[in-house]
Amino acid sequence: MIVFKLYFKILAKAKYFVLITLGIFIALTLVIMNLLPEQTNIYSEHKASVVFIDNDNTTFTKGLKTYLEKYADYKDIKKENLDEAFLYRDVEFIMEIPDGFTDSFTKDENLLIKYRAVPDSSSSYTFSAQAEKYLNFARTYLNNDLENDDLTEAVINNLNQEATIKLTDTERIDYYSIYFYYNYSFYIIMMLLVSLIGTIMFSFKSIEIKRRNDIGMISNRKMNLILILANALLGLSILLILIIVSIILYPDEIFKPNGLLFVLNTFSFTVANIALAYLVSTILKSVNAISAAGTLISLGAAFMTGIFIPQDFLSPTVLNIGKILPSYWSVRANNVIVNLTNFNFSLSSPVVQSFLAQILFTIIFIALAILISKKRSQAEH
Amino acid sequence: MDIFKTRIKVILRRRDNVFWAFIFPLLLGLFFHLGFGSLSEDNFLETTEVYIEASSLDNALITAMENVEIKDGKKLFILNQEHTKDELEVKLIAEEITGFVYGEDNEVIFRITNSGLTQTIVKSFLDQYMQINALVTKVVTTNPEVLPNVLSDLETNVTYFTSDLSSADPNANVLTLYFYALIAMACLFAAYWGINLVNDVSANMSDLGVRVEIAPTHRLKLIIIYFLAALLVHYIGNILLILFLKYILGVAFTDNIFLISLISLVGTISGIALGAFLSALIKGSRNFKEGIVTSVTLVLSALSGLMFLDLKYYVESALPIIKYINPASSLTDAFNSLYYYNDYSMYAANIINLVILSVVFIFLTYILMRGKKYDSI
Repeated sequence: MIVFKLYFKILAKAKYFVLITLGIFIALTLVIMNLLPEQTNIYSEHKASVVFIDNDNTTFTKGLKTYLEKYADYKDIKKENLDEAFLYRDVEFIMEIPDGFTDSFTKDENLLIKYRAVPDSSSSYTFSAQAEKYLNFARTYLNNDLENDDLTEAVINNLNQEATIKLTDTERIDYYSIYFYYNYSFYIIMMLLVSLIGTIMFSFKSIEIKRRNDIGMISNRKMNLILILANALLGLSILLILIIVSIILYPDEIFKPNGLLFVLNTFSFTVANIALAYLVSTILKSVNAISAAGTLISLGAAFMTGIFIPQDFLSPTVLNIGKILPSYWSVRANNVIVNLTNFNFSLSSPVVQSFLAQILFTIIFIALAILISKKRSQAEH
Repeated sequence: MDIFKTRIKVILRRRDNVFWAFIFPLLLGLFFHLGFGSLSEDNFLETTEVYIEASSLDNALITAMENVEIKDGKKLFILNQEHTKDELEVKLIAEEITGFVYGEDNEVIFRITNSGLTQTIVKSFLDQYMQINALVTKVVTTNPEVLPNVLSDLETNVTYFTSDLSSADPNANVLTLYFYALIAMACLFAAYWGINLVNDVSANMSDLGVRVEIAPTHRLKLIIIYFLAALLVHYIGNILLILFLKYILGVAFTDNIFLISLISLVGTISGIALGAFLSALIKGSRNFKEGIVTSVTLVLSALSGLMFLDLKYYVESALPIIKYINPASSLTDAFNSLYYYNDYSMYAANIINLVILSVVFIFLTYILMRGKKYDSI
């Protein structure tokens, strides 16, 4: 018990670090949740963000703006900030209709609309195709005197003809939000466990403390057992906090089979990372090195195994390197769980493979840690 | 000169600082590259596979869909006509496909599971087909004599758009800014040497400081030598980082090495100055000061977009003043002025801003450190 208490006394020193990390994580999750598009059962066109500058201001150009509303999310951005907004894609399409455009258009002269867009991007293509369509229909109407006095109205009436959309009406539960949450949690778990367990275990490692402990009442074996238990308890408590937060944030998804699989997958990942943290604390010889390792391992894994950037976008070489890290397998399982509808598992399922991989990682990490610490203690004696 | 050499040795022996100042930015740059080195924020037009029930649709529509091109012979759609409507419906419900097109009672129907960009692209095309049909029907019934003209007008596509002339590069990839923010962070990490500098010449902060203050060498001379040593070491590290990013990872920079190295030099000076200022301001152990410096540099880096690029954009849109007081922001903007804006006056403004910030930090450090006398220490 005395060892156990000491362990948590040392842990208490790091409470602000833990709280701040979890706080930032939860805040970030909330931001991302708001950014994700909501799935609805009503069809809407994809909207590009557009700055529409109209220096002509006629019924015809206003009609164009109204027609394009269906395809555009109009932004009001000052001219001097347009460059910056365009770089950050706060606006994807900038168009400026010159003064006298309608006049020139009806006389079949050649005044052009200035625009800026990302060349060949889908979003700007879709939007500009609509604008061109409006103008080309108007030209056809004008050339053949079909407009019956009101060109704008005639064109818009024509463009109101559309293909019919029939949406499937099956209620689908959308697991994307909870999927992001549990994918990001891998990063948090890795970072917290390696730095926390590493630092705490380090306090027990200096040779003076070891010698003092050797002559103490508690046997070495018992001491190690208690420490391993305490580490496991710490890891599981962090997991528990993350699960509780996810129950609050995703009450509808978490109790579904997919939600529970996310939790189980994260559980097996946590176990492997407790072992990893233990191994790191055995290998490295200073607290500074341990905190550096915690940062590097977690950031490296986050970039290379699909936590920050989806695995689909990563190159095969990067993914192959990623396979030596537990998070590669867990993320791969999450990628399947998010769309899973069939729960008959076989050995070829990434979900099952992830569980097996984590067991294997745990065994390897612990075996290595024991091997190294045996060699060290022999050297110390 | 001897003091200078010794000082460089002292700096290089602070192994943890060397790691954070030099190795860490290199590794982070490598991670960035592995993660999104070949990505872009934009979705580019790709050929899309569209499932259709051919038997219920007009041949004219099918031919039109087959012929539409993105450009240079690259098709917009590939049609899959192998299945009947019922088979497609089964596939749709099983979520093997996201949508299909069929015809019913003279209507073109697009059956889908949800909205999205691809869906809009397909639907726009179907709409256009319907709209042309409607116009043709109208002409046939009202004034059939103009029909040949209308058809030829509909076939010629006149473009009414012309790209505007801004010096900013529309092909610029915003993700490159992550690498610029990374260099900015690496410059600010020079702040660690700033802490050491102040600590090692202040009698109330370190044993070395006690020795230094009673030594016959003038303190200002020492400070200048220490400063130059830190600058030299960190500047070399920073240039290595830039060369690594530019030539090994292939990050886009302007080819004007002189302008780039000037940003790095001014950035490093501002980093050391910031560290010296914080060290003089805060009372506490070296570890405590380093903790503060780490937090400050990371917050400044985050505000310059290191963790989440859009943060820089949103924060500076709401509070433009941040741009001028955050050295990391000025550094990122200086690189960006050469990459995206191609604007030398913007570059110069950012460099001048950094020089002013450095002078302010150094002046404040001087105020905090001057004229100290100790009766006993």
